[in-house]
Amino acid sequence: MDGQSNARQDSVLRMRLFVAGNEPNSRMARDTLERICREHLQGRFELEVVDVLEDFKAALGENVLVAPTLVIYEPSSQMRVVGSLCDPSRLLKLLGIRGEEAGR
Amino acid sequence: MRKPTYEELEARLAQVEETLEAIRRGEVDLLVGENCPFLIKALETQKALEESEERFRSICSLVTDYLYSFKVHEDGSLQGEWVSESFVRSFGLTREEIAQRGGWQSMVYPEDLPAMLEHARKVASGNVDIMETRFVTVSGEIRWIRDHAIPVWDKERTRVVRIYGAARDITEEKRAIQKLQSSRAQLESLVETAEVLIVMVDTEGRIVLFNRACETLTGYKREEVLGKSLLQLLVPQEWHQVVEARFSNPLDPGLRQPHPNPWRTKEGQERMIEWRCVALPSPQGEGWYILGTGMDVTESMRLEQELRDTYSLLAHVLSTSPIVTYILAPQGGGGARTVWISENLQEITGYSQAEAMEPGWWEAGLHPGDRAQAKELAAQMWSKGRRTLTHRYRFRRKDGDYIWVRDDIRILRDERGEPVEAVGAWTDITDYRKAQEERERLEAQLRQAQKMEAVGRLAGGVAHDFNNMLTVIQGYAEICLQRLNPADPLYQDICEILNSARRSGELTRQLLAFSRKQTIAPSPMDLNQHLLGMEKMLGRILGEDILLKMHLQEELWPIFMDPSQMDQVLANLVVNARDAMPSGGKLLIETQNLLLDEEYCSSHPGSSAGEHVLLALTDTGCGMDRETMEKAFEPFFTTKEEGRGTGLGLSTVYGIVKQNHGLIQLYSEPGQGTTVKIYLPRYTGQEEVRPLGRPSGSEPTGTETILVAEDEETVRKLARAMLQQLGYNVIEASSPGEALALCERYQGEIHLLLTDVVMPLMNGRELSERIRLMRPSVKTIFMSGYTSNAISHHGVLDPGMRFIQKPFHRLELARKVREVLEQS
Repeated sequence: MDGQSNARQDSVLRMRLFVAGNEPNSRMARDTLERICREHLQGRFELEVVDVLEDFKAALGENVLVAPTLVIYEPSSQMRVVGSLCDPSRLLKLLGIRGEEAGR
Repeated sequence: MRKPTYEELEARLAQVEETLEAIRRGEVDLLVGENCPFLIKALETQKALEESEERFRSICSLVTDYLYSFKVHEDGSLQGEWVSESFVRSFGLTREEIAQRGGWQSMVYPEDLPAMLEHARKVASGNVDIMETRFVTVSGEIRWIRDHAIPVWDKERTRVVRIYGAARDITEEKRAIQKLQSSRAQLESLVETAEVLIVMVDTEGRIVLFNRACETLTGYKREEVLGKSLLQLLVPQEWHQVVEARFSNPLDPGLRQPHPNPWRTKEGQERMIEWRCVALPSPQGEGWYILGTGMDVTESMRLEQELRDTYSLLAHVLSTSPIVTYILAPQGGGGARTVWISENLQEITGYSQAEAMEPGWWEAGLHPGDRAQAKELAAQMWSKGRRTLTHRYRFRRKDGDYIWVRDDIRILRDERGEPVEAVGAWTDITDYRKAQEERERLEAQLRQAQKMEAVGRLAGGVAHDFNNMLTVIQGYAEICLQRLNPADPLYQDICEILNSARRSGELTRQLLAFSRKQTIAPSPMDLNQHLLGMEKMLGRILGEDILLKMHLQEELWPIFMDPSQMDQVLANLVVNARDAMPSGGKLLIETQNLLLDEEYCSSHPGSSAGEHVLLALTDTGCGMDRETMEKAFEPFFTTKEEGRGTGLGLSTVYGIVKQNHGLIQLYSEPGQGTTVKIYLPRYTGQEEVRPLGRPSGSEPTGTETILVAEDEETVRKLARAMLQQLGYNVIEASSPGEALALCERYQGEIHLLLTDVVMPLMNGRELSERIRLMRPSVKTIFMSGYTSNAISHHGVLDPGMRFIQKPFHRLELARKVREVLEQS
């Protein structure tokens, strides 16, 4: 698994976060994600935030049913995290970032 | 659209589930619909409900009350629906377990069950009800519950469908109340039965509490005093101000201090009470109640006063008492320890109290001569059954003098008879002892004097009769000599008879002198002159080996004494001195003017205060021991060899001194010589001191008529014979009666009466007086060896009386008769 994450660290992560304006869960998800990227993925990510209230067609295109939803694009597939991202440790795990780093 | 694979479907399903879960968790803001997105605000209602439920659970877990709900079935039976966690915690049973055990009824304390069922029925029929009951826990503990139950109606309010209740565990509360009640009851009975007075007044000074002790003391019943003013009812007028001041300042800490103030009883008596008060906040919240506790100290104050009086009296008595008081405590081994000793010890012995407390002080102070005995007695002090002990001993004062002490000890014992302490009293009996010794000495002196007196009477009596005989022997011997030629062979023999008679006469004279029956004719005398006149004669008595010295005071006062007596005194004393110095020595004769004071006289019986002339003779002879001195004045007592002394010398001196109101003292130690001191009163009369001079020459004769009255025939005949030889005309009578008869019938003149003093029926003096009535010119000469009050006072002749001592010899008689006849 380590090898996997190391490989991943070398590459750039592409993500899209679908939010509903400034609603509480959406705001929380955006804040959390931005903080994690800033702290752990400096220069190795591409993040696009999509406000469903403005562009719900993009959501439909991606088959997103609820907001907030985070879509992580892998080379072969994609991963989704639904909700306010109130549990950062789960997210870090999905992103392949080591627990120690997260705690730091 | 491509048909999704199984895995894709699986993943999508998982995604959906996750999405739903997120929705459930409320982490989703928006659902994306087919046509438009919509925000899920509605979901929040559900969330709020859940939160409220959560909150309710939390609160339920916090409250200690037991909360429950019952479902009420249509048949009225109850079914437990829910019970709070707190109940489970306290009773150890869940709702299910309770159901298994037979429902809530199984937990009710059996005795309380009927009431509890009634309580349930009431609520089930639509009433709110509160009730207290007992529950039993799983462990069997009984707990009190206060149950507050309310009914819950159905929507139509036709039927009670539920019961909600809150039950509080009041076990602790109950216990606390019970405890409170019992301690309150205790307190009340304490207040009620207390011996002390307990009274409480409210903010207005009205009595709100009045215990039984108060009732007993005052005579008021509680009903009579409650609500009344304490001040008006119980406090005497003159104390109102004091009490008011105290009540107006309830927070003064002095209130708690004991302070006396009296109460007046219903009967009007005043009792002094010592109070301690405390202010309590009034139940109304404003002002103070005052609670007082008091003791009736009337009696104890009186006793205290008495005690103080007694104490001060005792202290006064002790401080002024000449008796030292002390307390001893027994100490192991029969010893004693001084616990206390009175202050006057210092004054009496010079020792301080602290010094007397030192162990061994008493023993150290004992006189060596009394120590053994005193210690032995003291050792018996604690012996069984002994209650008192008295001893006398000498004790050394701090200044070294010894005092006589009488030590009286009283031993106090407990009920078992064991000694507890001893109280002793020490009396200084030095003066008493001195007085006692003095008295003993005086008594001895008196006994001695009485003995001498008795011996004197005896001797005097014998001498009187003996003198008559001697007078006859001597007289006839003289007559014989007159008639004999000195060349006659009988002449010398009769001379011997005469000499012996004279010596015998001398002996009787001495006896009479001692017995003070000697008739004397004292006259004023210059003792110095007399001594100088006798110096030669005394020197002859002393002999050559003894030196006679005289120290005579100039201007010596005169004395009043018969000179022949002084001769007797000096001769006797000088003879004694000579005999005390067989191998020679020195005799000093001194005279001195001297004043005897009262003190000296009080210790020397027979002496009288005033001016005296001292005659002292001091020899350097063998001296006397005490025993000899005591007997020295006794007649017939002699230390001389048999035949050398008569034992009458000092007795004679003693008698003469006494007869002349003088005092004689002996001072002597064996080997230290002897001093005899004679004190004779100073003569203060008018009569001049007569110059010395003794009559001498031939026998005077005469022819006058002399009446001789004498009952003793031999003496009468002798007197007649002598007088006739001298030429006188003698008529004689053998009794006073005969003498008077002769006077009546005798024709011629009678010039002189020579009469005996002591005769039957009438004495010589009376006879003389009767004759002088008939023949006033008749003169009288008394003859006697023995004086009587008839002619003298204690042997001293009244002035004008003439007297001749038996036995007399012719020359004496001749001179005396002539002397009297020639008197005008």
